[in-house]
Amino acid sequence: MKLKIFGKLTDIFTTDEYNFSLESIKSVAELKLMLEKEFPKLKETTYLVAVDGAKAENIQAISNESEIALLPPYSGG
Amino acid sequence: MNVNRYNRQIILPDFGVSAQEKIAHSSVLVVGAGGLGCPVLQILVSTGVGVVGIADFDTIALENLHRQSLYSEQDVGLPKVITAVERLSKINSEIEIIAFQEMITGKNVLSMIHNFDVVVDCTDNFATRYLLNDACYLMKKPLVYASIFQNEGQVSVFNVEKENQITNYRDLFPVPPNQNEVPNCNEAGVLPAHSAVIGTFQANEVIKLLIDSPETLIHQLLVFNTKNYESMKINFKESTEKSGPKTLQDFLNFNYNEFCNNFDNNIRSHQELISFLNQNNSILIDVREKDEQPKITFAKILQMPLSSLEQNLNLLNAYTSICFVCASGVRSQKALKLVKNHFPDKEIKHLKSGIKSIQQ
Repeated sequence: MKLKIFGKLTDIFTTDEYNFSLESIKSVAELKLMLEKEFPKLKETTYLVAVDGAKAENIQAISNESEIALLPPYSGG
Repeated sequence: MNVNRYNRQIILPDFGVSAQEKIAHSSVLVVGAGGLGCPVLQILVSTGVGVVGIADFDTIALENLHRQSLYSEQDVGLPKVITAVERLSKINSEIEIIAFQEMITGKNVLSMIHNFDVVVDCTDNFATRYLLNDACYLMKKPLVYASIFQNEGQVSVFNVEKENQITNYRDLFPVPPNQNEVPNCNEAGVLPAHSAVIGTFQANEVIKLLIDSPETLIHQLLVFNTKNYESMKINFKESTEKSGPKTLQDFLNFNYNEFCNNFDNNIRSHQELISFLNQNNSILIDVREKDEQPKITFAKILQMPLSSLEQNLNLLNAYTSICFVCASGVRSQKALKLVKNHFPDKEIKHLKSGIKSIQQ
């Protein structure tokens, strides 16, 4: 499964596209837990999760076909 | 209104004289006259928006010139709003331009936005962004938002009802990031073409909103990358839990600097330092190398040179209030940043101008 990474989050992932295997992950909450374990800095970071082009809440189910993006807020103006 | 002047936009199939008249009778307030504000202002003025307001407290710096195209070399040091009004009036003398040379605060924002139809967020920090967002939400003012990070930009339209929903910035990001988590353009860098593109998208949304175009970015966040030209639209809904102030009274009492962690981390005097150290579990930490003079004798200190601070962070677990000190304030500020990242909940300060500034 592919995850699109935006903004300063690419520093944490060191890439703008992160591939992972879904296995037991069934929801956004589980995905966040897995990613935060792999990348502990993510825990202290503000971001939203989008699934298939819409902002997703923690309870939203995800599957192998889901297109997922992690977006932080930007500050520049 | 001189219709000929706007002929090339009036002849567009979904525009016409009626759209031009709507624009001429509209008022738009642009908050921030920087990298986004300059292209936004230029487009709104040349499109013929009847009243354009500009709010900015800053002066023009040399490093603004590469992307803030309203300003020239001879304007460096002058207030942005003064130069902007001068330039914009030359572009279009038929419209009214109102300048607010002040910083947006809880005290002035409500009266400032009151008389405008649409507000445009071209700010460059989270405290002002949340303040403006909440003010517009409570006053039911349409707000066109954009912000940038390096080659990426976000654009959206808030506080406009569609499908029985009204969304705003807090429905995307209910709470702000930690201090220093998201750098602005001064820290992260930006190319002039990028801020011009995102500012142009933002101005486009304002015009579409004024002429009731059905395709504005209401309930949608556009993310656009000018490096690889990839874009993405994220749909979003009203959150069930609103995180911001719910009434104007709550708003007036809300501390946006504290909410966005914009604390003053500086200690400036001996007296201020002593009262800080009088708190429970407080400590003064000297981050100079061991042989540096003068030695500190007026308070109990922990000696932790900056060069080895990161390896000894566990020694700080016991303290809740920490003040760093060095010779001039440079190393102590670095220590502050480093430790704040590891212990975001601790109260951490530093002696702004170093030990010599408070020694008798």
